[in-house]
Amino acid sequence: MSKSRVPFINKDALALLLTLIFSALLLLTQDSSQIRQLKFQVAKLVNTLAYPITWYNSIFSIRVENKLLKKQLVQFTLMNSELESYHEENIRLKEMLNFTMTQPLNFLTANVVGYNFGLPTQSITIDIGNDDGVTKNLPIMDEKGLLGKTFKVGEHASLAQLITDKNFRVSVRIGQERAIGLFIPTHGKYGILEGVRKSMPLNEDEVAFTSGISEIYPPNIPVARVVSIQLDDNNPFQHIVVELVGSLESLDYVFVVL
Amino acid sequence: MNRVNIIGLSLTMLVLVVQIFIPVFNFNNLDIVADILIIFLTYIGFYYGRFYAIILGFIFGVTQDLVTQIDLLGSMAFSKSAIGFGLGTLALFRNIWSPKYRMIFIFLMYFLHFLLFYFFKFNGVSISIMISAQIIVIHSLLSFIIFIVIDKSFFPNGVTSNNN
Repeated sequence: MSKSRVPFINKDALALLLTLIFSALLLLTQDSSQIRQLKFQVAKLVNTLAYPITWYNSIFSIRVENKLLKKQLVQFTLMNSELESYHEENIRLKEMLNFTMTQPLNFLTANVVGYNFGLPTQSITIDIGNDDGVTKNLPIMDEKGLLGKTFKVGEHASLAQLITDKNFRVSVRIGQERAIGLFIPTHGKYGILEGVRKSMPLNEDEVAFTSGISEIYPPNIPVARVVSIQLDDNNPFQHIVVELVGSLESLDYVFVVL
Repeated sequence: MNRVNIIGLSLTMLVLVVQIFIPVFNFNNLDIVADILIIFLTYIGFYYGRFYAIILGFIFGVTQDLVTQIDLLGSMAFSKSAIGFGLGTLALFRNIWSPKYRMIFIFLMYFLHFLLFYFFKFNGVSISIMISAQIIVIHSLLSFIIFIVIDKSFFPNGVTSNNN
């Protein structure tokens, strides 16, 4: 056997390897149908042999991909909830826009930037103040009904007392005869109407409006809807439980009536 | 260039020319042709060893591809290089293997050569395995018989002789 000068290189094996590689290169550069088929078979074989490596690598890529997808899922969930919020806001704004266009009163629109449902006064903070033309004792309402009145006014913000505050009172008219009563909040969205005489015919679901007697509230703003009526022999007035018309559940925007 | 080299080169050229002009016969619409080059390669392998058999096998293969089947260029070079390595093994075991064992080995090498070549040639071609096998065996047998005839006729101390 012929020996190479470098002892660890077998000259015969090297010659075989080189000639086979060169032959294979020549063969694979051809474009006949047999060679195309051969290339396909070789690719298939390589793919089969490399499958464990591909599978092993794919686990890592799947882990990375999974991590990325989880991150994207969180982002999309947040985005989705944001979009839902915008959707709700859009509906609300459309309702408000429609309301302001049909009302003869002058309004200022305000964003609610703070809530205080605790003691001593149930109030909200709105982002308009003196600079926008807001003064003390201006009614605030939403598109459905009365919500309260301003009681402290700053340059750029104001505090408004909510209708649910225990010290809040508003004079109302109710029924066909437009009987006068006084709305007093009790708890949550409920309240009572005081001073409505027994002889006054009244039904459930009738709406009480501001009377216009007060200097603060203009007439005919919806205040509350009758929930129940009780007549007591010892009392000359009806005991009327009412539910607020205005919505205090999602206070984002309010109108200040000028 | 010494005398041995000139004779060797001339013989190589002669074998190539003979291979080009060797007659072809038909079997089941397929051409059968005796492979003189592989016989020549057997002697190169037997007397000069693997290295020369591989190099000459590659040169023969490329020449044969260029002349007869340019669309499968490399197929004959591949099979003849591989067989050159195998036939070169004869030189390693020249004094060990018996003539009978050598002949079996040579036939197996021829068979392997045609198996490799026709694997490339019939790949993707709709031809039955039986016909493919017949063609491979016929080619191998034909080349082997010619080799035996040449060896017995012209080489008294040749590959199949006991005097090695």
